[in-house]
Amino acid sequence: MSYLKIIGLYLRLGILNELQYRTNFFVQLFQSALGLIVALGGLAIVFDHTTNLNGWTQPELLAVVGVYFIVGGLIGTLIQPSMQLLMEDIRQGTLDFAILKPVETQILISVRQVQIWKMVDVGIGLVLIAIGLTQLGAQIGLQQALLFVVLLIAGVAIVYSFWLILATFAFWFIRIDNILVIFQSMYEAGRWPVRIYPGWLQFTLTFLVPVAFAVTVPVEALTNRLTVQTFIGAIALAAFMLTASHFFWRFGIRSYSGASA
Amino acid sequence: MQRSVTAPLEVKLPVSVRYWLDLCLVQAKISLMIDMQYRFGIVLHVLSRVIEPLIYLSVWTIIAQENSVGGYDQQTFAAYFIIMMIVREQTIVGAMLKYDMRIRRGTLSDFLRRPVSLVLWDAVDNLVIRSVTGVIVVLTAMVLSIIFQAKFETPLWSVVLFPFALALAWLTSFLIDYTLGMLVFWTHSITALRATLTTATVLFAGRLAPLDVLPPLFQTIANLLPFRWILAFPTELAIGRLTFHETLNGFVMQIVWIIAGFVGLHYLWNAGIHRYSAVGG
Repeated sequence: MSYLKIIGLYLRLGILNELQYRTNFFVQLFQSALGLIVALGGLAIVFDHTTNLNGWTQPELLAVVGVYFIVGGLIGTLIQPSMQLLMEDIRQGTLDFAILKPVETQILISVRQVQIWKMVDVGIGLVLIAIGLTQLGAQIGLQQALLFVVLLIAGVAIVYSFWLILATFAFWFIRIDNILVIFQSMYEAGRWPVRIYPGWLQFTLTFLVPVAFAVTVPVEALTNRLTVQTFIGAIALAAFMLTASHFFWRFGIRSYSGASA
Repeated sequence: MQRSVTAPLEVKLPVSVRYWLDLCLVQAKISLMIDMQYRFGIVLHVLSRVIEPLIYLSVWTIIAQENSVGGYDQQTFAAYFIIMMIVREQTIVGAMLKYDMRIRRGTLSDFLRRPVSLVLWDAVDNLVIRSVTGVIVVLTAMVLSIIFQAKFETPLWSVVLFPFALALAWLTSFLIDYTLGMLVFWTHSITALRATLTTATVLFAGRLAPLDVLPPLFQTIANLLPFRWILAFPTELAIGRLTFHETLNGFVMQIVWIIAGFVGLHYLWNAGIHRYSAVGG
């Protein structure tokens, strides 16, 4: 059986599982609406005092918020649930059940849980980008759109690798949920282009916590700011992170000894 | 008058003041010992609180590059957001999460059996953790003040009054948060409740921007909510933005909301406890 088939099967299972809890959809809708109010309120307050923020105009920042919502939604739907389950399983020793299955474990643990309602954020993000680009009157060519999608995939891959590395640390440190709180508060920085931050914070947001590659760089493709170097850098970093996290995971699971037995 | 036997909210007339002081001291010691088990977690928690003020400070620093905004220049913005970080850390309560867990796991029953008010216990517990994080957050604030060259134009009387404003802000926050936490007796969608609370404090209490900088509509909403008296008021006092008259007004508003909090908590606690029935047993 091919891996794609297994991944598809697990995603379907995850979706079916979530569809049991329909009220969660409305809770999520409410939460996303509040997130939207904060994001748009912030823009309204800032642009009450200026016409551009470090060269970024209001419609452009609307696109940034849009990508922030899309990537946040994808992380919340696909990456975070499985990774949290993984950390919980390592802590409780129930990871045995996943390891015993005759499939590559990394694939299995990466798709075991899906929070489909988080896709609401992806929808909101798409609308925001559409509004932002319309206000800009920007003509998005096929090439730009393609670059955007490629960079978005690269960004999500980088964030996935980052999460996998963090979660793998649980093999040694057992409880690391506080580190996740830090990631979440750092991700909020992605609501604004990372170049507005002081140098050391920019560095942190680019290389230690990859917010820049997840949000700012894809938007650069849409707003004609993308340089060839950044593009190549993003692709190279994605490839490197995927490989590094894979080997780190392999290294980590070797020190897992189970709980029962 | 109907009275819940198991859950005395009202602090009854003390046997002696000494008895209550001893009781609080014992509770504080227990809390401190529990907190000290998670030292690393506490440091990470404070670290996560540093990021938000830095984000907004960066945004406003850029806007204030050419000319000041609403009377703030780059260095006073720095002072504002650094003090805001301290005030926010010192007024966190989080009763909603606590009660959600207690009700869902049924552990609330254990607390209700005790002959001491659970509210008092939580208050002491919160004060202890706030003092621990307070040390870390003040040290962090000092480092940030140097990095961002924060400028304080605080007159002496403001410095003297700030501790009182902060203490009352804590009490306001504790009572309002606790009252809202009681809603958990009726609904368990705390994610939605907490998101609402976050939205209110980010936009209308000075977390995203000082209130003077907000558009009129935002200011009107801010005036209707208690949160600006918890966050913005002590912060503005500490950086010397308030006149003596405005400061007095701030204290009065804090007291008004404290009274409202007491009344609300009293009513909702009694109603909530009546609704509560333990799981398991």
